[in-house]
Amino acid sequence: MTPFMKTISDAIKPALSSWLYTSGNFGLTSTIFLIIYVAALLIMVNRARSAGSIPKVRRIAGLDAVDEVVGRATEMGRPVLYSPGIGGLEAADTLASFNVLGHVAKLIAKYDARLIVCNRTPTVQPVTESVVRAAYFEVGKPDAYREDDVRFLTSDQFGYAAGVVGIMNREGVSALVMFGLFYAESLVFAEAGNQAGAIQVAATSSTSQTPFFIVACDYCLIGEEIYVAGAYLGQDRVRLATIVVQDWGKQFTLAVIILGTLVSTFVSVTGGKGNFIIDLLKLY
Amino acid sequence: MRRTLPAAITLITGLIVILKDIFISPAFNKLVQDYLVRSVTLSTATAVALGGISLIRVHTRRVARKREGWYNSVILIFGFFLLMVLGIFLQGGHNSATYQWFYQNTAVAGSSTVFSLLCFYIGSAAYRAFRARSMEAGALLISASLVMLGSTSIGAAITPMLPKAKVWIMDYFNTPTIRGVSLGVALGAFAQGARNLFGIERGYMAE
Repeated sequence: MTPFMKTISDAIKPALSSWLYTSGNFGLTSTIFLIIYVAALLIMVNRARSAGSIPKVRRIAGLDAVDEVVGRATEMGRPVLYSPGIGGLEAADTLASFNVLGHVAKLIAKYDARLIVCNRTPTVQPVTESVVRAAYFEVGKPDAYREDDVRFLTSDQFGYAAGVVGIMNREGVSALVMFGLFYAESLVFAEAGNQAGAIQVAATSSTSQTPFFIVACDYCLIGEEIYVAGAYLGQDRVRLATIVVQDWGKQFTLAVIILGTLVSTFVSVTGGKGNFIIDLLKLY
Repeated sequence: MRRTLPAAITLITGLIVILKDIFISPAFNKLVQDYLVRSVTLSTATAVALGGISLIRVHTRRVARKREGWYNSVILIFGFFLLMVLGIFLQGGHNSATYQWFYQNTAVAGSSTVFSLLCFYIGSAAYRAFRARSMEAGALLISASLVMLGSTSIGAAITPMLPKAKVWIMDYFNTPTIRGVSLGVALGAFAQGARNLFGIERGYMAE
């Protein structure tokens, strides 16, 4: 840390250390970013509500394919299998998955196809039940909802994988939709689905599992694309507005990385010490 | 009320958890420990019971209607109740030797078997992925071959350049790409959390 930054750090630390965490959890810098991010989010939401202009979100082939998947299942007269992954309600991927499940369930109900939902997490089971039931109600076909088709299999990771593969083969599913948090079972699903001839759409934020989905599935969403699924499928202005803020965050972070790299290079070349960008981020 | 109450609970509990990580407050931490953590434990326990009921309901109907493979459902129902009874009534509960014998020789063995299938699935997936049908697949084939050879002793025996090529690919292509994706994921997860917290997105409430 440069002497100037150290002086500032030494001055503010004693004043704040009794009521703000200095390490672990959130620091002061993170808290400031959090406030700015939330403020930007709320501003954009207000703008969207007051019919202000919202940038267009690019086309995402994996999400467009969801409609194709349901159409195929309807034509073939075979079910669609949906997996919300193995994450719990605390996982952002699982929360994003409910929006996609709602969309898929509405299409399934509309076209009189069949949807099988397999759950691994007990807390996710009642939520998926209510999401699917609500979709059938919304389409006006509450009697078509089959409660046995939204199933809890097991909490065991590979027991769940075995259960999904078994259902896939026994029920002869035409399509496999996987949106959520996946770990090692991702390839078991994707390969078994591929061998069963099912069209597959997958999305997860897990960077270690995305390559498996890319090689084994017909359509795959990468990284944060899973989080825009709800807004994209629903084409809801307010939710699309929050995606814009997400992109601003990325642009800002990228700018900080580039600036930090340039300053580090400059300091290294000139033989100086410290990097004020890093010092600033570590101030508290 | 049906919409507002769950959204209000989400907002208040979410803010409490966030503020707990920002401000040093023993009273706040105690509140979280006393009420929120217990609430999560309680709701999870209830959900486990609901999950168990769903499982038994599905398989009981399969047996009753003699659907294809109904005998598998009989084994599942038998195993479910056997382990439940052993866990409740044996001394030591799920740590008792009898319970552990059943658990280790059924659930754990089965789980390990499915896990081991991954090596075959990786083989078949890699075979399809490495067929050079396009420029991207060709690039994947070349880089994957270099990384695989560079990771083995035979690669180093062929030429000492292979392990260096592997390190170069991993450090200058793989790591930056993963970091880039992870950055987007972190910001996306944050936006997802904020949408849920402020009730902008209510997929979990079936809306």
